[in-house]
Amino acid sequence: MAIGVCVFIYAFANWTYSTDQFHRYKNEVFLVTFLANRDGTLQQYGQTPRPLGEMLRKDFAHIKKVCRVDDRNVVLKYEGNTFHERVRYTDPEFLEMFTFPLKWGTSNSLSDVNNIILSEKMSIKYFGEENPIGQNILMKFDKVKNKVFKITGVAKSFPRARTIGFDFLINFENLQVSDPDYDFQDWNSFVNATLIQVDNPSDLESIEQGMEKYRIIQNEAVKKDWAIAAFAFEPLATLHERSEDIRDDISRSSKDNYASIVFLSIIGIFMLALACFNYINIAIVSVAKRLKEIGIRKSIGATRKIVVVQFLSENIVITFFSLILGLGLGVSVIIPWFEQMWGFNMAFQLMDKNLWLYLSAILLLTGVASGLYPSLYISKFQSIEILKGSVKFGRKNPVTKLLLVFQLILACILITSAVMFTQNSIYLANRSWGYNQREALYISVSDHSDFEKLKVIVAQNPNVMSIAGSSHHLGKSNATTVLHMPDREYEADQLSVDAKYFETMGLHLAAGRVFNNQEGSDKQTVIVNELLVKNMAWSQPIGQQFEIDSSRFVVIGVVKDFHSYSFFIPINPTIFRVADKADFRFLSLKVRPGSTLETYKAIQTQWAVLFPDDPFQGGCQEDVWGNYYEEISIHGKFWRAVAFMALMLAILGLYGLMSLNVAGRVREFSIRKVLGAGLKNIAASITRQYLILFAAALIIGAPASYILLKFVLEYAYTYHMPINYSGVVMAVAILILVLLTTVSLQLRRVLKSNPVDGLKVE
Amino acid sequence: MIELKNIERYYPAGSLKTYVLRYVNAHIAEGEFVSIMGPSGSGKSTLLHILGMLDEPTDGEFWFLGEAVHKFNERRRTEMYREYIGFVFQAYHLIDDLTVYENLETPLIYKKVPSAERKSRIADLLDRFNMVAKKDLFPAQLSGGQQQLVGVARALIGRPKLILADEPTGNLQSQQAKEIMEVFRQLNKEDGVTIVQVTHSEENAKYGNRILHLKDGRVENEELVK
Ligand SMILES: Nc1ncnc2c1ncn2[C@@H]1O[C@H](COP(=O)(O)OP(=O)(O)OP(=O)(O)O)[C@@H](O)[C@H]1O
Ligand SMILES: [Mg+2]
Repeated sequence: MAIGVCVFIYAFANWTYSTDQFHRYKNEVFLVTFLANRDGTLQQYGQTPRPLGEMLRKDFAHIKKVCRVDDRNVVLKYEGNTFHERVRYTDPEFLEMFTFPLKWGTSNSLSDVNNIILSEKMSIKYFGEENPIGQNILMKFDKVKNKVFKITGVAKSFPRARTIGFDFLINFENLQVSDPDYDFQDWNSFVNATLIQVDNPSDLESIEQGMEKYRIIQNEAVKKDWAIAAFAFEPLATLHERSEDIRDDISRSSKDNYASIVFLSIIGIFMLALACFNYINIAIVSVAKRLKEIGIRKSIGATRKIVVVQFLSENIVITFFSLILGLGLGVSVIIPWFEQMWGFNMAFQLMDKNLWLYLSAILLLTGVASGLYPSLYISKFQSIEILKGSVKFGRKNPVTKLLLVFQLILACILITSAVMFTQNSIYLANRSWGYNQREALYISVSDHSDFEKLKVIVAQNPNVMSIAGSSHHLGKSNATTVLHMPDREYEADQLSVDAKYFETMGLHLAAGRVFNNQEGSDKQTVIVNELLVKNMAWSQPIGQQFEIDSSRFVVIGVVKDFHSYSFFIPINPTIFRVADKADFRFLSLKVRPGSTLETYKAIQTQWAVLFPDDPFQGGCQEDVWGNYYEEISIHGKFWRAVAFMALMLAILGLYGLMSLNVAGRVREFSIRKVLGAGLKNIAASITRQYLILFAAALIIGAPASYILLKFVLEYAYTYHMPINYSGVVMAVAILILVLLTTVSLQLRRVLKSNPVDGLKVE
Repeated sequence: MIELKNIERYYPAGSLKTYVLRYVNAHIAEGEFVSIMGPSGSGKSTLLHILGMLDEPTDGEFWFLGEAVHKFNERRRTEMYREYIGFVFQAYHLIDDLTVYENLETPLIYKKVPSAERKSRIADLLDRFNMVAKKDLFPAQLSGGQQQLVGVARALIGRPKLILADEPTGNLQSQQAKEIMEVFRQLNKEDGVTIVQVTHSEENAKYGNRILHLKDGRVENEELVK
């Protein structure tokens, strides 16, 4: 079982490390990033100024290819299918630098501005299994601007292990079609990414030096707030490991996966260790049965070395069999279980030569680790002592005891973690978001006139209690802004909303007032959250002032802290400003309790009548966190599985050890029975030696689990349940139960046995 | 005290039964001192084990002080061990992990004898058997004869009403054997303890008032010692 877990961990690690490694130019392609000083620390950003790509292409002979990437939301229409989509505008080099294989079509077709390349997923979404090459698809950039594209390529489905992918690719020049004012030369604006490809990665140094002049241009063009410190390049091959630390970049981070690998490896080692301990313990105790054999072997001239080698090789054979079993278990149960839980394919292959290396390493390591000590221990004895029968095995061996204690401690830790993670997911499921997400709906609209039209219709619905408009929306979007105070600059999240937003979303006002519901009023006021007040150390927040973009704002209210984007993401200092009506992008609703779904459906239907060409985008506020709850419940499941396995191993160990022990003591128990020992006396003499070990294990294990789990929870969750002792108590209770069950099983065995059978002289 | 009616004990050997005891009838009154003799393998130990309630007859009735032993449960049997029976094993069967002193103490602990009294009783017996110097040794550190002495001492320590001894003197020098027999006789005469012993020695058998001769699992004849 432990080996099965190891196989799984290998597969997972292998999968993570394989991220992006299928790209042919993984070592030659680099993401251009810049470093900038924000709030006193140097931050790396993945965006780049718009003109940089073109300049790099012109100025450096070393740079073979350059590719700019920018993304926009559009509506795509093919026959009856209309959806909101996110389209990637890129230079034609994109598919030369990222060598995604194509299923149909040609990858160099992007140089034509009228062509579009789809991912396989999107191809299926619009065209089913058909080959869509040559079909035309209509792209609506907004209400009036649209363009027909010809499909010239479909990419094969991407491996999940990649940092950058796409749904739709069109030529970068199309940015000017969607937005005629788009200025490619504006240093003040950014594209989502610029990538370069060089022939020789060592040229990078000279390029980096040459970047200095761009830095100067850039810093002249932008305001001081956004000044940058330097440019830097991130190689594609390792981008997935680094992207967690790069802000605003388009690549997906695999940091969580690395953390998981570390965690999983620790668990795997624990499991293997548990299994080895079991083996060592049982080997030592059960060897008593082979004493004669060893004695005889030694007396006929076997040296200690021969005995050791014999035992080790026997052990490796045993380990080999368990390895085969474990591999089977890993491949057929654990990996599919995990894949199904997280819904992806790790592309695990048995024919991987590294896997076999890894397994042989495990084989040797565990084989030797678990066999060495017992064999040395056994071979140490003199043959005369053995044959005389005066050697007593196992029971008194301190190593056996130590290992059992260790095992129990591990089991205690793992059970505690299972209990705590389960409790935590229950806790998070019930934790307040800081506002009323259950009775809120949101609909995104494309402009103000749509907003007004929709508002009129929606207001007629008797279930709707309050309607608000906003440019940003909780859980969906926000802006970032810099607050200027006399003594400092401070970055905060910004949400532009109207006066009714607070009531509609059920945000709690802690002090002051909300905006006036009057056109044009409160333009220069803000409402802040408690965290911002706390960070600013304002004793009297109302009336505090600061500047944003050179205009002065006054704080008029404070709202209680709320969670915008799930509990994984820390609450940020946030300000609310009055939104311009023209900028309304969201309409949010408060509905009568219990009518959320019904209202949602009704509005969806009305929308389809109102805007037949515009796909509906909206939902229940409760769903904006996506599969957050699913994810944390998977954590719970995972830990329960791990704890179950650890518990099984510990039970197996304890049970095995005890039954061997009791088996070795049948004679003693029979004598005791004849001397008048009752149930209690025998239970006591079985338990006594374990009781101390058990107590020791619990005394070390309980606090250790508590401290460790506290640390893990704090590390893994930004917000978690208040940590209490119930998890530890539960683990201790479970372990005590295990001990009692094991003892009572053994006790039954002893009591049922006939004393005479135990007193037979061999 | 003891009433055996048609006691049988067999072991299944394939489809056949090998009888170790067959149609054993016996009556042992309280205060008797009975010796059992017979060739090796005749079933002496088996009979003694049945009398000591360590083993159960496959058939027949066993009455002890008017109670049906063949109907006893585990708990009642444990009480019997504690209160009435002291057993001396042919193979000594001391507890290896305990010292001589602790071995002697164990039955007293089970009998819930207070600690002070335990001490004095053990000191008495050790003295009587000249084993004071050996009290802190483990069984493995004793000779066979010494172990046997401890085994006998352990059977006596609980002051049982019935002592069952399986070749208690098999490993002892004749001098020591004689002393043990004297102890038995004294217990029997002065304290009225009932004693059943298995022995190969005619001489030791004569300490009893009656000898049962066992052969092939049957009581061949009974002999009264005058
Ligand atoms: N578990 C068993 N299965 C089969 N036969 C057994 C078993 N236990 C004992 N016997 C047989 O029962 C018979 C009587 O054994 P027992 O120990 O009572 O003999 P004994 O008269 O005490 O001999 P000794 O004088 O050598 O001690 C022997 O023939 C023995 O082989
Ligand atoms: Mg015998």
